[in-house]
Amino acid sequence: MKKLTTNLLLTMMFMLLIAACSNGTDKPSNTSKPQATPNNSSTTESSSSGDKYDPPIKMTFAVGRVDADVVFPDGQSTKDNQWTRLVEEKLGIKLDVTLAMPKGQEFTQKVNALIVTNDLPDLFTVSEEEMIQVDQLIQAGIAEDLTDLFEEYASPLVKQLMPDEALEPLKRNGRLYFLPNLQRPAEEGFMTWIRTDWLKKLNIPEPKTFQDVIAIAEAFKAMNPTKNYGFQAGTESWDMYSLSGLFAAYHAYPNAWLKDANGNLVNGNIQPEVKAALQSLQNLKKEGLISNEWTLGDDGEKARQDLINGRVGIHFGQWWAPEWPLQLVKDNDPEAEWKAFKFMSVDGQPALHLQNTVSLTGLYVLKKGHSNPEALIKMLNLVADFYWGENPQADPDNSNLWKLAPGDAQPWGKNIVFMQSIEKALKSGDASKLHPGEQVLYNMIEDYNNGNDEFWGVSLEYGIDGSLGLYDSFQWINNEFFGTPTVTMNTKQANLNKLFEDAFISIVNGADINKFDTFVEQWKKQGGDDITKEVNDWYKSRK
Amino acid sequence: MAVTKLNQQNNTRLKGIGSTQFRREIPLYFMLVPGIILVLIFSYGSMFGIIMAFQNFVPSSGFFDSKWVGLEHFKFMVQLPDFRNVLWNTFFIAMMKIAAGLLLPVTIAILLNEVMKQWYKRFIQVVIYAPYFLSWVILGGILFQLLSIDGIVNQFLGLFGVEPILFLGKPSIFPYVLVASDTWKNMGFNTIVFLAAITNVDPTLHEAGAIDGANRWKQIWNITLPGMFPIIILVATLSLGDILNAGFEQVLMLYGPALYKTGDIIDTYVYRIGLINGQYSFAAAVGLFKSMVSLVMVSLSYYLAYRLANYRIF
Amino acid sequence: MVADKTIGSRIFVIANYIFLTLITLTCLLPICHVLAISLSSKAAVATGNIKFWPVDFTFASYQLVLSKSQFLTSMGITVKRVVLGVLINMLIVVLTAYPLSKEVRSFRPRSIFAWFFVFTIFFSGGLIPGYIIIYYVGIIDTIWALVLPGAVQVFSVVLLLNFFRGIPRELEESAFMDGAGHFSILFKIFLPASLPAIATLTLFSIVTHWNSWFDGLIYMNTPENYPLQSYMQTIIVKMDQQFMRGASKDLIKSLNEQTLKSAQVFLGALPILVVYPFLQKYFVKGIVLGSVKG
Repeated sequence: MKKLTTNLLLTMMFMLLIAACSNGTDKPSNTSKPQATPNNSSTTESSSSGDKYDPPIKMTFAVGRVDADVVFPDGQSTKDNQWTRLVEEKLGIKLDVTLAMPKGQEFTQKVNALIVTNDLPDLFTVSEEEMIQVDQLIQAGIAEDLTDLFEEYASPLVKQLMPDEALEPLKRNGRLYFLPNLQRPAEEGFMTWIRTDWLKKLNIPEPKTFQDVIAIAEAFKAMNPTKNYGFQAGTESWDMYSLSGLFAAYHAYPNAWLKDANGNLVNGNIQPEVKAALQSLQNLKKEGLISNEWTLGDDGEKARQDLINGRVGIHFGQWWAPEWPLQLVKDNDPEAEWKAFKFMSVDGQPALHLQNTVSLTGLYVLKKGHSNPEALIKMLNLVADFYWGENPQADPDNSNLWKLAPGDAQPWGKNIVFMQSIEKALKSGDASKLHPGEQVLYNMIEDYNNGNDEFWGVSLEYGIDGSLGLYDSFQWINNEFFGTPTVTMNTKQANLNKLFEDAFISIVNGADINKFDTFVEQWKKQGGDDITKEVNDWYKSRK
Repeated sequence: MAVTKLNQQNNTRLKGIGSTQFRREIPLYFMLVPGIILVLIFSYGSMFGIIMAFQNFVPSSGFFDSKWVGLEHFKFMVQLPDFRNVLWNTFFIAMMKIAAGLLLPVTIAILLNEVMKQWYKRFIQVVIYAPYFLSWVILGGILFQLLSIDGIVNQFLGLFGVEPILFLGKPSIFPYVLVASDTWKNMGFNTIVFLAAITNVDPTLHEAGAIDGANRWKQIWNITLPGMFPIIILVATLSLGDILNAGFEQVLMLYGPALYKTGDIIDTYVYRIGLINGQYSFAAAVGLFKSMVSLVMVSLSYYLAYRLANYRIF
Repeated sequence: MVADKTIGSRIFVIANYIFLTLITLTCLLPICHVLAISLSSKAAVATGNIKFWPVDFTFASYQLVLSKSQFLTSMGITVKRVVLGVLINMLIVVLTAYPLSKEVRSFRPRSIFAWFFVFTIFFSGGLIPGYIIIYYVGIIDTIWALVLPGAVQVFSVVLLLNFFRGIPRELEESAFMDGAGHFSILFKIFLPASLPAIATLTLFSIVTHWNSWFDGLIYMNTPENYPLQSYMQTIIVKMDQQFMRGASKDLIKSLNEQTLKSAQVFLGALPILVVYPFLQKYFVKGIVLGSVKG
């Protein structure tokens, strides 16, 4: 009987094998079929970038950046919107949006599922947090090499918005495999946001030193000792649970590669300054200035609720914090006022702000094998021309449709540029020279000045003395490493991150501070030293 | 196996009527066709996919052109501290669930049996079945609500001077929250079998006990419990097969990165490294490891159940 | 049973009632609490004083949830899935259990087939190979991905075949003499005789399909195709502000994320909570018959 069973099983396996096999070979040929016909006809006429494909070509598109702030104007949807219409009308490209989701793990999971079944759409976005996914794709030969296409087809405007020096660090072995959404690293700097209406109420002056900040936190807690606490924390994926300001106070900059006195790169996580910072964090937690639930795995939701409900008045965030989440506080309590401050340090040395050497907010990958790969560059040209060309246009108010565009190009440091010109216009009262994108913001701020609190946040960012202006006064420290993950990083980085997070969380929660030294030992032994060497090799090779 | 022997004996007798017998069997084959096709595709088909655990699976190359790496993923797995940690979590959580999942239902069944008011007994039963029928999504939503730092459970504990506890955020507590909530979800349902076992205990024994002047306690201890013993042994043995099933949906719903250290179990780990981090082959290797261990444990448990309680699946 | 009236046994009875009542409350109160929150106003919830009765009663959360097209779409998908899934499950369970319940004498390859099915309980291919197969079958992102992979419930088959074996052989044999075939014996004799078992398995099938969420989350490539529980999972884990968008200012005033989540939790639980008490006498019988036989 046993033998019969095995035979039967083997036969079935074999049947299945054939089925899977024939299926497996079917798939690619299916997708490559359309190559035959339109390819010949279109390559000849597509040399000039303005031309339309005729007959139209198809391109499928999965976009993972359609966040909550995208609002479709009437009649538009993920499948049929400003961008699908525009690329069809202008370029003859039928853009089929097969998947549109907010940025996050769920989208990553969907894309991975599409990768594993070799069923990726032609074009898809990847979040900047998933660079590993991109490198896997490049190694697997799935991502189209865009180097020459970009050279040949990109419009002068695009080349100006995406200068070589910005693209160069993103290349792998000198080749460009994706189109980045470039961002000026300075626009990612964190700052300290403090509730100034409470300062007024308690009659406390604005802080000058880190000690002042702590005193403010204590005063805020004292307003309602059982419910309040000092510093908002709680998004695990984000900058040490959004406590970076407390680290910077001690000149600690975790999760970065810093240049030491000898010009070598060292890892920020294992520096002695981190130990001092953790000790301080532990004390703050003991005093109740950091919420007990700071590590709750809810993406900061609970902490945000506390913020909204007026239980916490200090928030470490970026320039856009007023729009989210501080606007929610304002919505809930119209009295609420917030102001941004530079980081302050415990000693005489200035607290620095960490910035990356390059910075992206996501990227576009084209799957290898599309009949008209240059179509991607043409779409990018179109997007660039739409927003930044001679007749610049803006998305419908508040719609954020740019997130659905099949490409992304912006002026270097766009938001800072915007803020400067808006501030000037507000002061002079002359808005005629504003770019449409700026005009939208200008109108919102005017609206706020006329009493509409809905745009309170925008006004705090782009208005007079807006948060974006604060970046000018920052002193920066760079995260010097921006290469492809090194060999050892690929296998061991995840574990090292976990080691750090464990030490970080347990020390803040009250573990013996010397646990940090154990962590440093472990970190070095479990691959950290190898990675440091590789990173330094990379660093020297670039000079 | 006993069945085979029987088969051989019958064969000699059946030879003469072989063809008519087959004709009579034809409808039976037909009935099995849909089930066989589905199982073949979805269960055995995915078993075939396991070969990716021995490859560096590259999706565009598929199963046939991906590079074979032998046991490399397994070697990597065994020396990975993460994996050892996950394995221990799985084992620890599953064992506790098995233990608590026996103890509480047995207790409830015995106590329910002592309830004389039939309507109240039925009411209790209906109510405590409820959590069993709700998904972990729903229960997760309820638990997040109840167990938050200012939630109703902490408010209640506060009445006794207990400091608020971070049930769903503290690694040292989290496994126990998993065990407690899982036991709670299943307690009602698991009493069913034990209650049935109690009713099967010969009532004359109780009557004899009562006449002998044995009180309730003694009756439970000397009559009810020993009467339930075979079924308790059976359930315990069969649950050995779940030694690496620590509750995927429950953990996935309730945990977060801060809880990986004590809360990450094999199934969630496979999900994370496979579908979130995209290390397909490695994830498949970890999954295969689990399947192999489970296969051994389930076989062992059925064997033991057969030897100890003369239990057979069919 | 003889009731005894000693003090010791009285204490025992009282303690017993208290203990069981407490256990019962642990199942009842959480649901009451969530219901109370879902029916309370934002302001009342923020004070943290809501126990088991709504404060500042409002239907605002339910109004908003039920106005969300995705909630209703997902509910529709779930209903479709339950109907389709349960029908297929039951058909296959019945068709598979019947031949396997035969003696080897009357169905010679029975053991081979039985092990063929049972082996899948012991061993499975795992998450990613499973996904790949479902993809190759071509049902990713369709309702079939939620229905077909789990269509053969081997445990149910085993339970039902054990039940079938308890049916007196004479019934079957006499029907055979009268010229009835296997199909008519199955549907005219076996099925009517095993209604409690069928009812139990149907209930389990309904509950399984209603409650499943992980398969929806991974086999549906587009969130618009999520069944209700998958959709709720994404909301309970992370609800964003978008959800409130489109709600009138009046509604927003009286609800927040907590009340919204609670309302959805309650709506997601409601159908099952309504159905199972009526079916419970069947499933208790079915479980007991199925397991005690062993």
